[in-house]
Amino acid sequence: MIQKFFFTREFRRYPFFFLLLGSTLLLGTLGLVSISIVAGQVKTQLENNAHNLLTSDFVVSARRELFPEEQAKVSAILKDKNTYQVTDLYSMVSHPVKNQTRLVELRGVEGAYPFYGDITLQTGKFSTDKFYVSRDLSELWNIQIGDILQVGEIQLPVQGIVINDTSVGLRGFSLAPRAYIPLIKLTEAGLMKRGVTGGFARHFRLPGLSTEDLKKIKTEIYEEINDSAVRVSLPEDSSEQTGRVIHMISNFMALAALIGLVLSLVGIFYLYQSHLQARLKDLCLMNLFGLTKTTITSFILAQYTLIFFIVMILDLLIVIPGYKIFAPMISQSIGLDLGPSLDLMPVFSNLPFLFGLSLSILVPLLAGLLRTPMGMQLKSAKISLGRFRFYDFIPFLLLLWAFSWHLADSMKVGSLFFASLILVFVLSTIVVRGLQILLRKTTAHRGLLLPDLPTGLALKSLARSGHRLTLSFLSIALGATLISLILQLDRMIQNEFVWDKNKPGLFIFDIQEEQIDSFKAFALEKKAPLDAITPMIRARLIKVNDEKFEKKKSSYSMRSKEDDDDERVRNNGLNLTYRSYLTAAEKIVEGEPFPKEPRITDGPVYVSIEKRWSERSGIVIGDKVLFDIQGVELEGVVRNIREVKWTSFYPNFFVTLEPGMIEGAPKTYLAVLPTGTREGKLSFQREAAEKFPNISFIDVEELVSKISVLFDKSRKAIEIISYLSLLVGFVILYGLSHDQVYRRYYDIALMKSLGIPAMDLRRNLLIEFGSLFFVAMSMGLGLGWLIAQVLGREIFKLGLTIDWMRMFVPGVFLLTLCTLTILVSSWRIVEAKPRELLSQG
Amino acid sequence: MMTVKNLRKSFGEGSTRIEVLKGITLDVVKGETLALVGKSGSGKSTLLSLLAGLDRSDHGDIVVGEKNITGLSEKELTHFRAQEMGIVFQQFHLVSTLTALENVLLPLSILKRENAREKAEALLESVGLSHRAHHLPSELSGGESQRVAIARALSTSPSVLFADEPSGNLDEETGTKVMDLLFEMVKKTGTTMILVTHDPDLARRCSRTVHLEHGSLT
Amino acid sequence: MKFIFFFLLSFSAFAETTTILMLGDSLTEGYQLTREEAYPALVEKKLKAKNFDVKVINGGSAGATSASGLKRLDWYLKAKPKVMVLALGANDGLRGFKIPETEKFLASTIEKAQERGIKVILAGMQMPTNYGEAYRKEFENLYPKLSKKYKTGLIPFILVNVAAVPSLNLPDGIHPNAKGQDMVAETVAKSIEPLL
Repeated sequence: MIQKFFFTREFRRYPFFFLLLGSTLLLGTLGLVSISIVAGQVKTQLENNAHNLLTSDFVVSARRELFPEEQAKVSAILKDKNTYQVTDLYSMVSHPVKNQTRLVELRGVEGAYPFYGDITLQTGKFSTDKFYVSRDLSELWNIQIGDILQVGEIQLPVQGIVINDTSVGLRGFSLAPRAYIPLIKLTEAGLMKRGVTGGFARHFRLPGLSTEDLKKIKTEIYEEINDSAVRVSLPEDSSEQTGRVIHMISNFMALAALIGLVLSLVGIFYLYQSHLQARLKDLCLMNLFGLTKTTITSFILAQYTLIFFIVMILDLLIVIPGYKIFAPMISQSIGLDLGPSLDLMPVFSNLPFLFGLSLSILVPLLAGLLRTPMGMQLKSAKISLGRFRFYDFIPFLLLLWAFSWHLADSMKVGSLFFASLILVFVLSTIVVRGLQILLRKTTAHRGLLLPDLPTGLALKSLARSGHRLTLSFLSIALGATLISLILQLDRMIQNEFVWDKNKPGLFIFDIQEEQIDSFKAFALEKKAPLDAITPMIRARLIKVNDEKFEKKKSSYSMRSKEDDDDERVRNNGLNLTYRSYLTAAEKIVEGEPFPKEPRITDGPVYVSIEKRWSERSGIVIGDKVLFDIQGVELEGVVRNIREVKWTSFYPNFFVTLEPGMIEGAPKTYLAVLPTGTREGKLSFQREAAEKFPNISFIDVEELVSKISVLFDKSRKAIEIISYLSLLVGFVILYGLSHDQVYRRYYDIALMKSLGIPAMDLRRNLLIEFGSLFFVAMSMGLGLGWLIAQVLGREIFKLGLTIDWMRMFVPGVFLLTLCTLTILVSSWRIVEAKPRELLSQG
Repeated sequence: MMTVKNLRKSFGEGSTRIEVLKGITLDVVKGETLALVGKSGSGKSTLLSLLAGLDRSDHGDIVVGEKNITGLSEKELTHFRAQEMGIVFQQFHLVSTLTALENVLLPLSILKRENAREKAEALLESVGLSHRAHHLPSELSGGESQRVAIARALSTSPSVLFADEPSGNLDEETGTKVMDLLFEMVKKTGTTMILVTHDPDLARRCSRTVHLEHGSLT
Repeated sequence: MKFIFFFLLSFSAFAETTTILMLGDSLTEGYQLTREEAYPALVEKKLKAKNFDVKVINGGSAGATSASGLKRLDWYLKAKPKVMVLALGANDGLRGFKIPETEKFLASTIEKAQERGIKVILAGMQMPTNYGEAYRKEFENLYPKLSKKYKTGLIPFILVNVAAVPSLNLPDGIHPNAKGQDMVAETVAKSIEPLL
């Protein structure tokens, strides 16, 4: 009978509560469930993408052909199962009929190339025994299928035009357009004689081997083959740029979803607390009739579990069809095709955490319930829920930590996020206690008119509210912190995706000094909007603070992904430029900017260095540097350090000098032609190459656009996630405000009966809750900003940012929302007749 | 000093409509202690709430002193209540975030009376709780709380004091003590009191008793 | 006899340090190596060891094409070089520029140098075999052709015995390592000696 009571009557008696509970839980978990699914798909697709870029599972390559011994060793380890060779060579290819010759990048392929990925032809299917040209090349020479081209010593007919190759992805742009040729033809063409220089790669397909296994094989090969010229690549090495962005996004998404969940759990805690308090009389009665507290508690848990699972089902019901609808859009956003089939594994792997976490938030309340002396309660007029202790929250906190860890896939992220929440908790407690002590001291023994009754009542209430106040404060502060955190992080990430003035279509370099004017004139004539015309001077850094900077290399390894950074910076000449302005992608983070007007000085020239280069080289502000600029030594001093957005496509320099000092040195010029029409770009390139044959052009349009789309849509995705979490936050805070007011119901009725005018009562509420909200919110917004800086720095490697608008606006909005809520909620109460105060006799 | 004419009050709508007060007429003389006696459900609490201006009647007049309070606006009624009426509830009803002294001080502060603090302290003294002046209601016993409530009710020297089963939530011994105090204070200050009770012994201590049965005076 | 001896002595005493300019690209710059490991510095060392009074200017700039020769020569004129080793053209070839263009630029650089009385040694380069026979041949022949026309010194192939030898090159297969640079320095020093 009792069971029935709990399960059916309960839901019927308190439909509103359970509905609200369910909705809050739904909102909180929806974010996580959808993100689990999307993130899971993204991860899979990323892995596929990485494979596409590599075209295989495992590659052994070098800039020369592998020696027979080396080949033998590789065969022994990898047993030659499924393999092919890919050889990339530059060669001069001619079009005999048109009598034109140009540099072409030949990709020699054979067998099952590519194991992964797609090569799309204009017509027909790709095959490794035919000869194809890329679209670029076909357009440059107006090639039709069937045209004969001279490659080395042989002539080949063009058998197709390649319009997309997934292996080209985001990695390189090359000096020359591409053509695909059967490997044997390369030898036939006489291009593989001794003295050949190119990329020689042996690819392997090793299905069923995990990343760990592959890494082991890689180590084995490195041990067998000592020559550092030979390197091994795995799929994970290949998708750097995309990988970084997507890693950033998924981390952020995980965090945002987690924040949404925590916010909703805060709301649930509050809801449940009110509910239990209201139900306490009934529960005490049941206890009186013989139902043990443990039984009561387990029933409550059972109820909650039921609701949780209903919510989970609802989540799936919403997300699965939702995915079908939104997947194409999301695919576009991320630049990866997510695929129509859904993998629900990530959801199930998160389920235990979700469940545990949601359940654990009830522990303090249920512990309080267990501590309530129920028998005693019926006698006294006011029944109150037993107090919960700090350690009741430990299960929740532990699970939160574990979940953060699990979601972010890294202990660092998880722990940092978790630590932040603890910080809010601790600080809230300190602030509240501190303020309460302060208030108590200042309001004691001073009567009620401080200076008027509403304020006096409000202040005394705040001073003496004890634990209840701490909880409210904490909830608000937490909500504000998380909201601020998301907004700041969002802004910081968005700032990373800087938008160059234009998107580059062509990189132009090696414009000689004596040509620059005529080149500019030519561009003007062609109506080509040349941009970023930058001088470039080759130099060496020989001394820093009178110490030799260059070091003899201990090894010439091409193996480690990050070669010794230190050695990478030294021993390479520098490309310098001189300018007093900063590009859109640059920001000075330390030191003084260059003077606007060129100086005339005998002293050292001002130098500006890029932040990461500074870290790698160990050179800091104030350091004296000695350059060898084309044989002339020049002394400089580091004046500032710049941060350059890694997402900028424009040419950026590690080291820049102030203008006016090295103009005379031999230099070449760079320029960028922004994207315009395809024909415009091609015709410009053609004509410029004719007129200025020594100038080089690299077509980056496709590469740039691929990355841009990725960045663009990523920004949007991040924004959407942020706002969703915000929504949850707002809803929670609204509920909180409403609840705050209702708790004071009796007090308000009492005061009304004593004759306090309605207006004063409203003022009382506004002052009391307004100040509570204001302080909690300000603290929360500030903390959220601080945490965003730490998280941004540690996890996303972002620079310090402060976006006042994003602190201010939500703050004002939230405060207004809460104030309005207080007013609206209090309206009813304040206007009501206080007859409820009297006994129902 | 109080005249009630044909007071009616119903609750509920339509088929569930209950007429709780069916036309109450009575007079209260200044300085007297009037007991309102009746069983549960007789409507005595409702009558009290109407007389104290805590609720509105459907029909009838209540004149306190010179003022017909049925015609007052909510705002005016609140103000009137503050000035002329004191209430002692069954459930103590002290503001939980104010000390005993501050609770007594409250009505005086509402009316911005002079020497409020001295008056409050004196009143607290007279109910024998000076030593508990700075304690919060959560720290007071039931009896102490009720005594503070009495002090509070009398702080503004109201023309009429309403008491709704003031000892109802107290054990017998404490209850007796509290009632003694109440009667003593009322006598000392010459305040008119209307006491709602179901206890005939308490009723006997008042100067007059009226009986309420099913919404009518008998 | 004694008189002639003194005369010769005093003549040599009045002789100045010979400044040698090596105008080139990444090979000359010593890409990935220290300045001291690049062949110009090594040449100086080797010549000094043979008691020649020389100073070598490293005029190498990675990525430089033949088109840059003229302007850069201008820049180094103030150092008053007596000899110039012209080692440009490789980048032109690697990028597939038209040979006649390269020829033009190299020619004007040689002309300018000779106008100033600078003795020119042309450093011959070769392209990897994958560039195709036709192009390779044309490129290879460029240097002897120019050398003949302007009567300059000629190093037939500056990377002789170094190119395509894995142990003498960096992993990128194109640039010599420290050992390779040393061999290049041998080759270059030998060609300069007769002029001193």
